[in-house]
Amino acid sequence: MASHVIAFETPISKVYQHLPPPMEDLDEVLAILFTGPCKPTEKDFQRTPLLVRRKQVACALEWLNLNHSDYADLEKNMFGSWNKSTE
Amino acid sequence: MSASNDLTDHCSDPKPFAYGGGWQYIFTFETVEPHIVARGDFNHECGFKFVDHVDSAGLVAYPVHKNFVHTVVPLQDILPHLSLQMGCKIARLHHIVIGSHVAKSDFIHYFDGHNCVSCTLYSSVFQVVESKIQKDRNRKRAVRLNLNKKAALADDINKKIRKSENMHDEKTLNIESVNLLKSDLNKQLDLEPTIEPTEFPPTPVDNDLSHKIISDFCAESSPSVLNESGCAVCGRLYPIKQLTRLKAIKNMLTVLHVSGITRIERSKAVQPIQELKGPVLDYRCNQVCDDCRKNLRKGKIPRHALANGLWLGAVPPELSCLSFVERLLIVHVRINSCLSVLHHLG
Repeated sequence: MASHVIAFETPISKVYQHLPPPMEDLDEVLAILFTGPCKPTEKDFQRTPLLVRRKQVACALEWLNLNHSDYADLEKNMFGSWNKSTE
Repeated sequence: MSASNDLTDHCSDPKPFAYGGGWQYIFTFETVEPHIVARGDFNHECGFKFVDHVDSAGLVAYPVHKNFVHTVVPLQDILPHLSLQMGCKIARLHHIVIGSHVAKSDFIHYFDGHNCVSCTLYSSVFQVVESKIQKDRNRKRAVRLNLNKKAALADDINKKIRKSENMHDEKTLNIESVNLLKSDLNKQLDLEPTIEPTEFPPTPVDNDLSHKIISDFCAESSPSVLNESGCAVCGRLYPIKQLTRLKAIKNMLTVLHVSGITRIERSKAVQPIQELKGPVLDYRCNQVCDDCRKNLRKGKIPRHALANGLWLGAVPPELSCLSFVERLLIVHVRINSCLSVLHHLG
């Protein structure tokens, strides 16, 4: 699968204290469009380049919490409201 | 003896010594002429530029047919008009011992009454150049030629105008055509000096030219020109040519000792937050760009220096391995909304 991303500027509405943000919030800023001759199957979903590796994100947040002054008071959500790995 | 005469001539000169800078002194025909050993074709109006002081073997490099003149002019005559560097070279050739810090005015006196074997072996080489009179004359001639050309052109077009006036009876037509021709005249007069005669079609590229083109290209695109490296002070990439060693200015790095900028990487929460010791630098680079070096030499913190609050440290693998969507998840604020299109490829 190939992917193509377009980014639009939006006014900053909120500064997150809980990271990663809840899935509903992500709906506002990220839309994914499938194009092709047939409906994507479960197997196709497993191969999209837009998957999130929860462990990597957790590691990155951990590192930022330790080493970045802006992340020092971070409240980790750790995918509490996440039930699917794809968004 | 003409030598002594010439010497007195120079002494009466309002500016006997050249104090460095300016144009090279042009010797007159009268000074050089009595001592000429070998000469090419030139007349008495030429000037002479001093080139070198060499022995018979060295003279081969200055053939007479290439406008060089070999002479045995007495050293006292020419020395006042040579550079101190050339004077030292001549003194060495004649085994005259001169200290390293001698004023040019005293310099000449070392050669007073000098006579040695070298004097007969070595001769001075001059190059024939245009004297001031000739230059003036040539310039005037060029101007005159140009004027003549313009006058001829103007005549030509004026004739055409008159002809057309005779041919057409209707005044309106006349005025139009005359105006056209007049504007043509002005245009041609304006353009005349800029047009250079060019060959058409151009001759095919010969070996010399193609060699020059290729070697120029190679020189411009060689790794030493194109390679880039980081500056330790500002962390920006620069061509290697604009970088110098950081070690050379290590004593001036004290201005970069700024606290509250750096931070040592922690792996556990129990570790204390510490700063890196020493100046705020990118320690993976060992060179500094010209921009930063100039500011550091003045004792200022460069505008783009890492010490100016721009220090970030190395990006850890935890962050660099993240994908686009994963990066979206770890930021505090989102300034973009994204539309991602997935194409199904078979």
